[in-house]
Amino acid sequence: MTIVAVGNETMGDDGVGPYLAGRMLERQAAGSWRQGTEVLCADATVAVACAAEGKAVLVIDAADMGLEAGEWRAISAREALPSAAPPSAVSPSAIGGGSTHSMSVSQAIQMADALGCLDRLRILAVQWGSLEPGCRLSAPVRERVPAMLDWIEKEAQRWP
Amino acid sequence: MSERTMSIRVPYVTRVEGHGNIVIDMREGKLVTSHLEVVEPPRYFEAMLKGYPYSDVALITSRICGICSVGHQMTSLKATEKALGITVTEQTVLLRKLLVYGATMQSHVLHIFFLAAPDLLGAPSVVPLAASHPDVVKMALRMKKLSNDICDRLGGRTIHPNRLVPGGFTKLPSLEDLRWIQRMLETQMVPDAKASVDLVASLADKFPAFQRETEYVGLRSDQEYAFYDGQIASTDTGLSPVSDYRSITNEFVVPHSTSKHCRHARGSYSVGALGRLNNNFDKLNPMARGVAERLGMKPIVTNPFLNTAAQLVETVHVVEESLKVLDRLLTLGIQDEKPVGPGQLREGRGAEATEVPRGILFHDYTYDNRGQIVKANCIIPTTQNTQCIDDDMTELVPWMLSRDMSEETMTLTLEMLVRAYDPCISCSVHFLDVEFRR
Repeated sequence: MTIVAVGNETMGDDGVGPYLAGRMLERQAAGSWRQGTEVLCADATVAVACAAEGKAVLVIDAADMGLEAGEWRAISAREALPSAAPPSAVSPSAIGGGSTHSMSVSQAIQMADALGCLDRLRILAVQWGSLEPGCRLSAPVRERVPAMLDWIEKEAQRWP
Repeated sequence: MSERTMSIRVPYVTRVEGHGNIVIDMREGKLVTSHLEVVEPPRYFEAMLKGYPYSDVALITSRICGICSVGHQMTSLKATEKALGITVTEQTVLLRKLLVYGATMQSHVLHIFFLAAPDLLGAPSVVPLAASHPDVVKMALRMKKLSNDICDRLGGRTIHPNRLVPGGFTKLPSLEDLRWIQRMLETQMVPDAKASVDLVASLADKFPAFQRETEYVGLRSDQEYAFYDGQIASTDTGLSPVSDYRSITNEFVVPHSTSKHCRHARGSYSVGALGRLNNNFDKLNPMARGVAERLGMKPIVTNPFLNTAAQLVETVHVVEESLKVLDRLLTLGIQDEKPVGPGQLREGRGAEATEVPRGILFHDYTYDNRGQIVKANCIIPTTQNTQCIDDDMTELVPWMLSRDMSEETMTLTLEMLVRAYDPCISCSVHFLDVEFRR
């Protein structure tokens, strides 16, 4: 399985993906994590690129789901597809909400659907508590990191 | 046409970085307004740098842009090293060049396939393009991911690299990293680049056949097609040292833009892939030169829409150049070098330039004797292109009218023109000097 962690570590809980990736890489280096799992900090373009190559991909990103900070939900990209904007409504920019710098996860889901690799994508969405610029993870999100890592490890064992 | 009254407004040009508006007004056959409005607020990066130590400056300026972060960091490091009298080793220069080439691939692939290709293939964006042309998009994703991986292996991250410091690298790539890049370029990037050339050649008639003579500016080096280093070259006036950059850029302010504009020998000049190609054609590597000839590009190319095709020529060139650099590095081996320090800190000024994907980039720093920034000036490529885009529009509108184009086609063509420059609008906005008169 390939894990693609999306987010900015200097924007509070938006950095939960890269933070988790860092801990996974530490565990891998210490030999206490599944070695075959590829862990990447990247934008969602890379997730689609990996899925298009035939890899099973878990995308980790912060999200606003109306839950308590630190709660998480795992869903298949197919389940998330109806909530992603249809391709004809992709605007104002072709990739990224208002920027060409990166592709949003919702657009990555649409593209994976168009490329026929949607079923290779799963999303781990973590409810953020604060997106304050210049800050690290909020306490409620940080407290749940060990449980998230355990869940991801079990998930990685289920996937090819 | 002669008595035509027309108004075209594109309030948000899509598939470019940042926010810009196209405004065209024609009254009774006379073109009154034709310009690109840049309406984003200034970002004050130069003011932010004041007081920061030399060790932090490149990390901060890298944040000016998420696409050209390598280019900003490289130009910043060179300017700091010049100001502080630091001379880097051959290994550092070779690794930096390799990173610049990786970042050029990364950005050019993004523009060619994700931003420009939908226009050429009749799709509103890359997502529907994935449905209509999946093989093209899969190829683009492969190329983008590989160029990301190259930057990651060399710089520590795909954007905003964290291994580059004044004087060298804090962590060097391994020989295995270099062999991996070499293998992937040969086995994946070269075939994909060739397929990209076939694709763009088949779409050559989709580029509007508009021509406008202008001045083209880019770095030029005696040794190679200039990206990392060189003198400023102009197709109008020849070579100038980088230290004289202000005599080239001549920034000025216009009411419709928060980006400054630039002019040199004419009312405007163009930088970017066409600026480089028109000044460095004789330095292209063999495969890239063949691609240019196949696409009918020979200096001086005066069709601004062909900047995208020039980016493809450059993509092939930097793949070839990367393989040369890798050969050299693998022959020399990676030496365990520590970054070269500045020695005794002193007051100093350094102005440097690098060719980033969108054109020539200048950073100019003045340091005090504690190694802290006193004054900084950054002039980015899009700032240099904004007046040229306006001037292109002024000739493009009558050109389109003479061909009886519909307003819908004209609007699309104007958007394609702006996109062809691959503008980085957010980066172009600059602090405006405000003068109060009572």
